[in-house]
Amino acid sequence: MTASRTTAITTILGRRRRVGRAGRVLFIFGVAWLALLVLAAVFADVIPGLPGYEEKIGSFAQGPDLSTLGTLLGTDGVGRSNLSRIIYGARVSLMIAVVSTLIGLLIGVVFGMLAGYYRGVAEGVGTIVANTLSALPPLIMLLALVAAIGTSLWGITIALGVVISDIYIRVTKGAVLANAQREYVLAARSLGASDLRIMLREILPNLIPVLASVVPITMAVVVVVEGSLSFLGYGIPAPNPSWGGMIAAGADTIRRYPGVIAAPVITLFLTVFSFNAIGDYLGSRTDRRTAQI
Amino acid sequence: MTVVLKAVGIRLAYGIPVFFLVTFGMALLVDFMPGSPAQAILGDQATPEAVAALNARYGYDLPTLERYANWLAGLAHLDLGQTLFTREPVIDVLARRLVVTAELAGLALAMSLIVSVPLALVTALRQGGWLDRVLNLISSALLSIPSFVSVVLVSLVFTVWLKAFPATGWVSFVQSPLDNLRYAFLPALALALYETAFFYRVLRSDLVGTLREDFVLVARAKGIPKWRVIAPRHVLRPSLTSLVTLFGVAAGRLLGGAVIVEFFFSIPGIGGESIAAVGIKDMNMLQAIVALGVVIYVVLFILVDLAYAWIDPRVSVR
Repeated sequence: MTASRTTAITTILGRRRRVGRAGRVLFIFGVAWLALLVLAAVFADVIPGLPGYEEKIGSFAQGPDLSTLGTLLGTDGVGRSNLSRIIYGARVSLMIAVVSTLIGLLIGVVFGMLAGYYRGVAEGVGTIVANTLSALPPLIMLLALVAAIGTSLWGITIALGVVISDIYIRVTKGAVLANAQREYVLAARSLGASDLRIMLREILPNLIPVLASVVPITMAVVVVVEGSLSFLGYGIPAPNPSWGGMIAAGADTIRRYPGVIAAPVITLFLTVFSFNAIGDYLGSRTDRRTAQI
Repeated sequence: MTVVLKAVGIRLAYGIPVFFLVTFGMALLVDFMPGSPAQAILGDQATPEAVAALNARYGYDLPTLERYANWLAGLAHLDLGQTLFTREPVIDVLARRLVVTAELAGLALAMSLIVSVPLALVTALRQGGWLDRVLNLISSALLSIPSFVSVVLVSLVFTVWLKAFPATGWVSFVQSPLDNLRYAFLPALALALYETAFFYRVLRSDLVGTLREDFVLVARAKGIPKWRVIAPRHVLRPSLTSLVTLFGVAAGRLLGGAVIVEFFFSIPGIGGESIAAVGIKDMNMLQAIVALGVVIYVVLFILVDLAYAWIDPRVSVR
């Protein structure tokens, strides 16, 4: 799967596009939105006037009412505050996104580094691992996991981390290959640095820009897959609110109250869009074309 | 011909370990079920006899390796065991579901291509025009809409507001071709939204790159009008490589079961089946679905690689 894989990865990730002013505006917007979301999620418990996510604050399916914070985005099908459920839902979504991306990053950097630095057998192993992970449909694999061990926050987080690590393996390996023959590596080696030191102290810092530009993309993937799982009813167990669960609940009553899904749908869209915009912007400033395997 | 065969062989050699790793992983997963697998499937109320019988029926009392070897032996003559409760051969159910999923995937891909290719041709010729900018915004927005949102929105617009299509369900093509299309349209549309945006962006940016090539300049210098340069011969064909890759990726994704869309519209395809299998913990069925997904993935990548050589003769099949 050499040629097509290479081209697939370079096409999806690698084209060095010029992102003009629009791209920069979207990048700033994305950062602002995510910052707002993170702040709200972190300080959810101490935001004055924000009702609990299980608290019934009024009749069901009310439209937005600007008089109190709780009713700012209206209420859901049983009269709970949409704003509160979105903020508490953000906690779970963002936590999973961050942790599983870190897991994916760790797996990807270890395998990719060894594959790119030592070549030979290590490269073969890295290729097979990455191909195996790419061949797995993420949602079906997670569903199989849920069928076996049930819904567990850690199970889902770790599994998502493993599923997205293929992209980090490829990107790391490609970047290491591009760096391994550079003068600074040669210089370090001639000074007697060990392989481990060269990999961690010399090459790794040079990988940070490329890896950083992939992070938002995998975060978007994680948010979407986790949302899909919740939508299907196999996500984080109730009563924890989740965006996917809110959309599923809103879809059940969409004939009578089409407005209920608006808040979670828009939140989810803005979040995924922000991740994508940040990823595009960072991608345009680094060269991911070397992400080949 | 022998060159092609050799190329296919090399790619299969890459794909086969992937197949074994994934299917073995699925066999291993059963061992992580709390209690014994049969206990987990049947629940706490099950009698010990029923649990023992189920464990024996699926070989869950055997060591993992032996169970996996049995599964592979069955696979050799296309026997993937029985479904959990209805006790039908898994392979029969899978074949029936695959027909539905394939129809849906085919429709969605056709819709995506019909919309995205002409639009990409137009905007590549008129870069920076209003249509280019509008479509750039729309397509990047579409890429940020997950399928579980697009199904809800599509159904809101077409079944709740316009009342133009049935909300859920499925009629097979053999029963009634017209009803079949009526039921297939919305799910296919929901699937196509994302793929259309993807195809459009990739093809447009490839076209823009090709238009800068010298041979296009030569063709234009010879007096071939702009709209003819972009037609198949000169620009479209060399710009197809990325699109073909993405087409392969998309086909794999859709054929592997559009889980959300099939679940939402109650469609008896692979994706719908996988949700049903998760609900009753039918691990046998899930293993078969995952195995099928891997086979589709490997086969599509071989086809994509071969398509490269056909599109661009400079690419040799290695």
